[in-house]
Amino acid sequence: MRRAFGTSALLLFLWLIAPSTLLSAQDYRTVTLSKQYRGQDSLQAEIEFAAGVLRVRPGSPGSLYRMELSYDPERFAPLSKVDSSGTDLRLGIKSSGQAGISVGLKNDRPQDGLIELNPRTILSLDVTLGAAQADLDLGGLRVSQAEIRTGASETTLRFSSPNRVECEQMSISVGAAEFSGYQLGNGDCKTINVDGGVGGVLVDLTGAWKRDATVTLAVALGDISLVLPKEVGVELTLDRFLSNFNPEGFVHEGRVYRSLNYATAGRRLSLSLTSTVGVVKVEWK
Amino acid sequence: MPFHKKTLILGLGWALVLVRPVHAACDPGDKFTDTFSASITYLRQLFHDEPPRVVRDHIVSISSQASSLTFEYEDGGTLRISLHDGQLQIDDRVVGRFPQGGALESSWRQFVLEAARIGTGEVLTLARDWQPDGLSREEEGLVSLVQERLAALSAPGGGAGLPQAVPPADAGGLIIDISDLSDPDHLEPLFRRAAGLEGSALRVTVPGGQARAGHYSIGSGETVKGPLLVIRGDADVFGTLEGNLATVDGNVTVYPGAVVTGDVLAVAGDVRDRGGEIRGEIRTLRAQPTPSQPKPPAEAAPSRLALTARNAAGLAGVFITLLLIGTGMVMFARPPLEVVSDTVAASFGRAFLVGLLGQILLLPTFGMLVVGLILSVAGILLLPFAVIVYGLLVVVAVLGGFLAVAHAMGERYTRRQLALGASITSANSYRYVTVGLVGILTLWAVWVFFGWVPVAGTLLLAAAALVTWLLATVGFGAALLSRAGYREEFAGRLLPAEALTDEFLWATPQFGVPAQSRPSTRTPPPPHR
Repeated sequence: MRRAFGTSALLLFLWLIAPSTLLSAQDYRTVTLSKQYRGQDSLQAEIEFAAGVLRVRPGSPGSLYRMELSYDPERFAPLSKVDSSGTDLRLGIKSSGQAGISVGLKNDRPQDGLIELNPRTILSLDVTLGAAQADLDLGGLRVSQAEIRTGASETTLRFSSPNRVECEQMSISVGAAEFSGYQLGNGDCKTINVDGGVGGVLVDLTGAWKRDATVTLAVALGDISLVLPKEVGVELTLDRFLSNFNPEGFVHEGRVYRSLNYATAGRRLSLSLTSTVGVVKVEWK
Repeated sequence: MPFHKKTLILGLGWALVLVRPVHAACDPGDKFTDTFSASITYLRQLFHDEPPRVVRDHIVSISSQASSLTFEYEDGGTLRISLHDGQLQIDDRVVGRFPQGGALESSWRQFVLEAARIGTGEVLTLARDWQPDGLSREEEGLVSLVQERLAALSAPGGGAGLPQAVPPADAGGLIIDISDLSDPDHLEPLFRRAAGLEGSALRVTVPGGQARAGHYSIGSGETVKGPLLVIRGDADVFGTLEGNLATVDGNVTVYPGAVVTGDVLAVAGDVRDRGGEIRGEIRTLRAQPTPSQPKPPAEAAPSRLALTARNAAGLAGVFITLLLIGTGMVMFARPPLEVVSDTVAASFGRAFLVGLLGQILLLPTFGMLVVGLILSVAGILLLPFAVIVYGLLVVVAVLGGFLAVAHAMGERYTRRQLALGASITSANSYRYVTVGLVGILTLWAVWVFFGWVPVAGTLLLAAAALVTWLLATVGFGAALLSRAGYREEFAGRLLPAEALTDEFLWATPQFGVPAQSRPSTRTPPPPHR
């Protein structure tokens, strides 16, 4: 009895002098959210990602969507809303009201999200990115329309394989951010609008163009890197102020530049480019 | 384990923690728990006492040649027991042999088959009681070996226990509403609380539904209505569940033909879709400890000598830099430098006051400049340039003023040396700046060599900083007063430069200088012959 009391007292004493670091362990959480694919024809997907690293890619055919999210529950909360029919979806991560700069000794790491979308469903995609680093691969999906807005982010959009349906419009609005779009020709979009704010923009229009398209590209302050497909005829209308442009590969009449193969090309791109301050670089591939 | 052995291990473990290095205790990133558990692990290894491993799940694999049972630990490891071609393998290592087709093999296959359809906790319970009949002596030895390994395992939550219905809680007891599973973060603490209840204390009310403890299975022809919560066990669905399904410390498996009409949530578990239908959303939630990042190696405190050498090197670097800038100023801008230097010498107090006022007004002036440019609309375009120019002017005024102070100090010192009869061949501005800088930096040199003295070192540092600021303020003020050396009103130059020529001094009477008598008008006497 006395020994037990002594041991208890010792343990109590040790507990009292134990450093508080024992109690301040900070855990991240991993949540997975998914829904079975049950023949939904279309999906209106809204993705909001407040902060962190986001990847979007095609998922398995049996799953309508799947999101895997690793996050700090003290600062962020997962966002998941889907209607009963499974055609209206909202996914992502939102601030739980205590976001901001975390100052402390704990090991901070970014929120990490992976979103997989069904390749059978026709998608209308609306993506809003905050302070995020995003890699969106929409190749192999069925994207009929896409709107992407980025804040202070570094965003890469790619169509690594052809879009499976015709895309009516793709709008990309870039804030004070870097944006890179690769193989956008695979997106098969009728119109592409890229509205850049402050920051570099890379637009790679190579890919399997199946029809004529109109591309509008405007950047206020920053360099524009254009990668144009050699097999497509390009007509470029340039509106620039304090911008440098080397019209290599073009013949021009006034503000209109045409690629050498414009008259004979099977597919044509009408490209309208506005640059206020920066350099416009063109590369043919 | 005997009580005294436990106490000894615990006591020694804590003793190790308490005598850990002081710097580790002071380090906020110190993994206290790691230290403690490392101590315990070490001592346990010393006493050959392996800690029990908590099993999270089990996996069964059966083929014509082999049958294996794999336990997954909560901390990520596995234990794999396999009978393969007459060999007993534990973690892919052969630990014994047995006759193929014998009692051991057939009994093991039956056991593994049974394990495929029950929960992990029950598998552990069955395994501990597994005593096949008709075994040879070698086979009995192998069974003992397997059971020895299984004895070190424990089920999640301190033991699976027998599957049972959980009675509703009393008034004020635990109520978990799982009719909405869309916010698992909110539900998780309630689930954790339920999973921590044992025995008669395990009472949970699930509004409109039911709670179960341990493994629970809905048969293929069965229909369960209302939400279902399974605590510390797996939920296997072969039939129909009309409602939501949630598990804590267990997996959900939905088999072909099964239907769950609502959402599914597994806290600290997985949801396995084997071909059934889940009409709602599927969610899993798992706490994930933040991986500890490797700490940068603690920088060893430099020795006193090294610290002195480092500070001396820094001081030498600053001296050389200022000397080079000063040489450049003397070379290319000597007249304004000399005017500022004379202003320092002639109007020291005034220059200090102006410098102080200038420092106070630096930011407001900058603000007014920016606002003025913005308000003028057209000036907005000039804003970036104005900001850069303003910054450059401030730097030039402060640095140039400081060098002018050094020049003034050097000049005063050199003139005194000359007055004392010293022979100095190069009494010029280069020398003045060098001597002045040496004088100013001598203060810092004192701190460099004696800064390590506990209180005096701090005072020396404060004194050096204060004097340097004072001189910089005077220099800044002198630069302002003399408009960067282009106005001489405060430089003490009362006479124009041409007034100092020999011709002027000869021809013009000066106040306080006795005039030399004019030569007489008489005809000079003829030269002596």
